[in-house]
Amino acid sequence: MDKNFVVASKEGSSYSDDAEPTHCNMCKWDLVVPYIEGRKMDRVCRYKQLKRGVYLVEVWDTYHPLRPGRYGNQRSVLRARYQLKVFKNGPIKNLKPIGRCEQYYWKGGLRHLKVFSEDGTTLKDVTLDSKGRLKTYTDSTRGEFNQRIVSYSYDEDKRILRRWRGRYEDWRAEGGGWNIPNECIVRRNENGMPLLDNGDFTETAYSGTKASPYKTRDIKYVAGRKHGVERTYNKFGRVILEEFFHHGTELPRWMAIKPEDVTVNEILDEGNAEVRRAILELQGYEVFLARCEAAGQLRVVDQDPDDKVGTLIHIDLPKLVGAARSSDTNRVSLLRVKDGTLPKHYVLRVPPHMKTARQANAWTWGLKENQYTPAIER
Amino acid sequence: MEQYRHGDLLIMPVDSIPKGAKQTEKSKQRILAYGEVTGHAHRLSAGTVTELGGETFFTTTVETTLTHDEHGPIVFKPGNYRVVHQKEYSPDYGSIRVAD
Repeated sequence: MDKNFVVASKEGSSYSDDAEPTHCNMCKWDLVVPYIEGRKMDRVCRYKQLKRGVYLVEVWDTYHPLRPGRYGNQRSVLRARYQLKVFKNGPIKNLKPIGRCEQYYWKGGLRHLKVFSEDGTTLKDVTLDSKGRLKTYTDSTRGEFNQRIVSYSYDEDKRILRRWRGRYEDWRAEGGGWNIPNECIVRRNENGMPLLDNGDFTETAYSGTKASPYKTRDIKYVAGRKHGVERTYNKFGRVILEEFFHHGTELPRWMAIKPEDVTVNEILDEGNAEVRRAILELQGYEVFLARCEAAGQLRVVDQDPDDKVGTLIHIDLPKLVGAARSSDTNRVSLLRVKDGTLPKHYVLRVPPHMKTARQANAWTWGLKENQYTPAIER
Repeated sequence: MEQYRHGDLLIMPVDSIPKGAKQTEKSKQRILAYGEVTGHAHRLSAGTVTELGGETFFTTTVETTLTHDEHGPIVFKPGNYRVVHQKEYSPDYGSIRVAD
């Protein structure tokens, strides 16, 4: 199974690892969802057979033309529509991307990108000049593709048409959009970090105001950690991937874009402590606790003099996500502890029957209240 | 009993490593724990790391240093140690490991 291409399930709502593209009951087309470096792209290719060997193919900007995007009310935009002729007995499953970008290195000021297939043979060899422009481009797979675009048309969006017309020849030469994921060229330094010198391909944004921290200004790393939006462009300059970081922690897009809209329940429901800490920092502990106070009753039960032991807080909510037992229905016990080294706080969830902060902290280590006596805390 | 806290790990000396503790891919690189969001790892400079039933142990005959990108280093004397992962409460599962 090619990892770059994963296929929609029969319902078109969740995605499985089936080798074959599957039929969608909603739109009655067959769907293929491209992956880039293990992440689903916000794009779906769907096709139907017109006659033997000839397919009508559409590329949509969201997962499914009949569904809104992953993150709210994103509109589905038709990016491309073309007819595809498949030769020999080539089934549509042969429309697969050609390999993964596995190695980046420097060579006498030139940047060199090689794309390898899974058995290690070089499929593509791309050289960039010092400004990141394409210098040489070799593609050993081109002859192996048993597909060709026989007709091509855009309708509906004239603006997109204008943007794409000049690029169509290039685009067609490289597989007609099917291998767009592999056209991603990310320049990285020796440590694998995206290059940030002139921001041609990778850019990030400084934290701006508290309300909208990702309004783009020019930035990069804060204290050695990624902070802001990292965008990955394909060689046509289109954004194909956006990743959101808060001091080194990657956040889901919907949280990062509007942290003030993340509700109390969504934060409590988040399984990852780093993500939870990041979103609490973005939103502000004060805001979060004030919302808890407004929503239900918030009580500081016990505040230990040692900030590393923490503060025990009880939050009583009318409705709690994930409550299993009746006694837990409306109580969340949280322990707010300081990190051992850095001046940041974590909020950990503890059982509702905890009485003191020290007891709660010892519980997180599986110990009794008087057993937790760390000699060194880092 | 001496206890050392290193981020979301608590390390305690033990008399011996239980029989059947084995090395995994992660422990061969002397990684005690790995942060999936941040990518930071708690890594030892020397010693043998083993795992048994979700618990992590390590033994060392020389002084070994535990490092992490965001926490200060801790030096351990030769001996056997048990690593406790910090857990937090989950209404669904009782307790789950703290993830970072």
